[in-house]
Amino acid sequence: MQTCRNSAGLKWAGFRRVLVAAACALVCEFMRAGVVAWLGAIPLLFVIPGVVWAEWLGIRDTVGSAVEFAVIVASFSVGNAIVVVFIVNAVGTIDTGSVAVGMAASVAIGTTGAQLCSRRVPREGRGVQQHRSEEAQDEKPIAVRKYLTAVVLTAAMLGMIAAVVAAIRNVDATDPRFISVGARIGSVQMNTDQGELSVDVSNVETVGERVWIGVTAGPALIRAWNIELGAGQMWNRETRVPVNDELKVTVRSKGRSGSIIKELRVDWG
Amino acid sequence: MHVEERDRGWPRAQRTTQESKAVLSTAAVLNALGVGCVALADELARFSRPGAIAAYWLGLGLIFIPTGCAFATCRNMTRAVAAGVVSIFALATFAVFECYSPTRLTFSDEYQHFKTLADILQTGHLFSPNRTLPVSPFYPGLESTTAALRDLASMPTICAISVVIGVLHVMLTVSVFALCTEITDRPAIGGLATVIYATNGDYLFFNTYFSYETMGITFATLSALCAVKGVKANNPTKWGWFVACCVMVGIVAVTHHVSSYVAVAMVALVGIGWLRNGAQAQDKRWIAVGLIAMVACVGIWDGIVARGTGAYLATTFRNLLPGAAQHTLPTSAAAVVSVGTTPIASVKQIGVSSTIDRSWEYLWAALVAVLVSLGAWKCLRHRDTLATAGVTIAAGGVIGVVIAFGLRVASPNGEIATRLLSFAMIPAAAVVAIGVEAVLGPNRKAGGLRSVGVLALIIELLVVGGVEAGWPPSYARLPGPYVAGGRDRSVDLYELTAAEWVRKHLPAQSLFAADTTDAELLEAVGNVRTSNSVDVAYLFDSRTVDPQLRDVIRRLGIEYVLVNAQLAGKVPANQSLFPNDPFEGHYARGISGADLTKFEHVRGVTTVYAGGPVEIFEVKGLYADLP
Repeated sequence: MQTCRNSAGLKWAGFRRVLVAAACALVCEFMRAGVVAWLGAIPLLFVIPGVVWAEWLGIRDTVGSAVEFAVIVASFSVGNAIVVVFIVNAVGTIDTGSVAVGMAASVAIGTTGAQLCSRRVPREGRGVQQHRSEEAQDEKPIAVRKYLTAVVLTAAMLGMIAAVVAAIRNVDATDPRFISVGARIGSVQMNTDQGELSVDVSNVETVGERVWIGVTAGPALIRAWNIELGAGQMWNRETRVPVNDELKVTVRSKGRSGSIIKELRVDWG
Repeated sequence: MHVEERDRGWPRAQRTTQESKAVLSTAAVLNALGVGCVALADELARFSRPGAIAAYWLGLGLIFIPTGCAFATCRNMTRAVAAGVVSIFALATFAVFECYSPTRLTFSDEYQHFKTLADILQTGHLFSPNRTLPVSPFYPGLESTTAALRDLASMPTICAISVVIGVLHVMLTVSVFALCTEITDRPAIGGLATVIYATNGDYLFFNTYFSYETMGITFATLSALCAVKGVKANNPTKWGWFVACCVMVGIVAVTHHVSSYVAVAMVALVGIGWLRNGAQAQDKRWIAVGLIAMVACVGIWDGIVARGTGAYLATTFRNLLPGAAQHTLPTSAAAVVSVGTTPIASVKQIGVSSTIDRSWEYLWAALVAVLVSLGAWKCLRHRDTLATAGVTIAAGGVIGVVIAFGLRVASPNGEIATRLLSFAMIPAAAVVAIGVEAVLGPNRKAGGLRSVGVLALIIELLVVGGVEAGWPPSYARLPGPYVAGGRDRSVDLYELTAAEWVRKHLPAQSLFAADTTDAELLEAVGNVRTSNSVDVAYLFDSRTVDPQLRDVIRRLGIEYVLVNAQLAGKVPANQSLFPNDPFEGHYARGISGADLTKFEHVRGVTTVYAGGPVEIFEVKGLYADLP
């Protein structure tokens, strides 16, 4: 961006930055769809200190554009990491909605990052080179502080996000894991004893009626023993039920006394 | 600020900017640490471990105190940096809310609006009846926005809700900052005013709930901001701001009743101030036209679409105002007690807020009263303290604060005062911030230890007092195990799973009897009706299913009873267990487990659902053979 010397140049620089931002956002979206998405935030840890050192050593002009480009890419990666953390990880889905939100977050964070990490141009119409020659001594530490500000802000934001993510994981870990049983007609009863559950649906007598067995956390391996199918036939069933899903057992006999499901075990995980 | 930059020269101004950015970074890091502490507090509380409450207050202190001190000590802060600090503060306070329950709605008020949202998503139309909050469908601004985001982005509903309320929370905070900055013409005072506003009891949680007020108060603030900006702007831009103001009022009108009245009042105050200070004859006509249009917009919506609003508000205010009718122990209670069931105390027990809560609340009120008086006195002495366009709205806010304090003193229930304060403090916070500045003294050294110490103490007292006075109450301030009669702490996965099962498997609009929290969830999530008869309490409190009880069930037409065994043996935290509880305030001990399990082996009663401690009984068989 050092070549911008007038207002037209500034506008072009801004426009170019937006174009680069949009391009990076697209690249990052493609990246996020892959396995390497989680690595998106890592470049930031290397790039921003690199910019600080380049500035300090006075070689930023040489590597300036490339580094700024890298900063923008890294900023977008952080945006995408946020989206991954918040939406994909918390909810478990990747869809067009999260992509749209990812794009928006990327543009916002990337533009902010690029703005913070780019050289500020005076408003008074003085050229950058003139300004640099006058204020060269002041500028070096100021520029370093700019990058430090960017680093600290980014770290703080990531810290805040980490706290919320920790809360999400904590809630998931503390949610009770249990099965619940229900049937529209008939009576269901369940007794819990140290993780072993027995279900008695002896009063269900309607043909075609379904016993609903819900699992609120999982995945769980449900084994139902001694399911009477009528006429003395027995059926053992073992089914893996995913999170928040349900197993339905259809009652196929009518008028028999005794249990239809005598025993049901759940192994979590 | 640009003028200052030109006067002082580029390097000095740039250094000032860099110092401001250092403040921004410091505030961001401390805010992040604060959020971390609150997340830790929530985790400790979920496992009922000690230290949770200390970590919570430490976390809030790390968020509020550095932010407030940043504004008070960095006098040359630019508007952009101040806005940045405020934005980070808003994100941090939203993270505090989000950490409480990040994966599902927890607060009972939210489920009232979730019902409206679910109806919109299911039917694709507005205005479906909602028994939990009858006026909610007629103010669908928040729910329709959420439904649109959810459908357009194919997001899970809970994600769409989080995104919408998160954006609204940040918008509210930034717009309070912008308004107070316009009123005082100083970004640092605007920022300090925002932190002071955030100490009001409803900011952290109630005004961040998935509730129509969250959106209403945000757009009401934006409408006032547009009005003030319009008055201050030059002619070409002026009318753009006024059009934006009208649009904002239009949005509020379809979002929240009280917010729409407040929005019109705030805009009218700005208009009055403008009339008194230099409005041209032509401007006066436009002010009149604009105000009439806004009043008409709100009036038409409330009068034609949301016709039940007047009655709803009248009932609500009657219940909250001094002298509201309280439940008295019914004479039939003696009969219940005589059969040896739930112990009922003849003397009414202490209500929701404890003495400690009330003490902190009064301290907060006293501190705000002193600071607002100081600020008002300073504004009266130095007429240039406030921008001309902001004088009337600030005065209106101060009057609102005085009225709220009056209501609090007169009423045993602090809710109406807290709700009024959340609106009145928007402009009044600027006056309070000027009062704080007066306490610190005009010649203080920026960043001086004494100033920082005094300010930190003021902010800490305001934060603790405000949180203690607000919602949720102390027993639900942190997440954790089930609390009987604890509203926000009575919603857990057992109840939600049962309500979802009911929605999937039982006929819609079946009539249930349940405790308050389960009744709200059944209505909102289960899409069934619940009885709010006084007699519901007897279904749970009595020991046996005798003929009298069968007759009650038949008379009410109850089809299902949901029994939550977690209620057993626990005194309700807010001294009420049922939607219309005749024993409110009289529970000496919790309902016994035997009373709750009495339906299990009764002829004519069928257990249709069992999940953890929650059971659902079909009781239609109890009165099938009765005449």
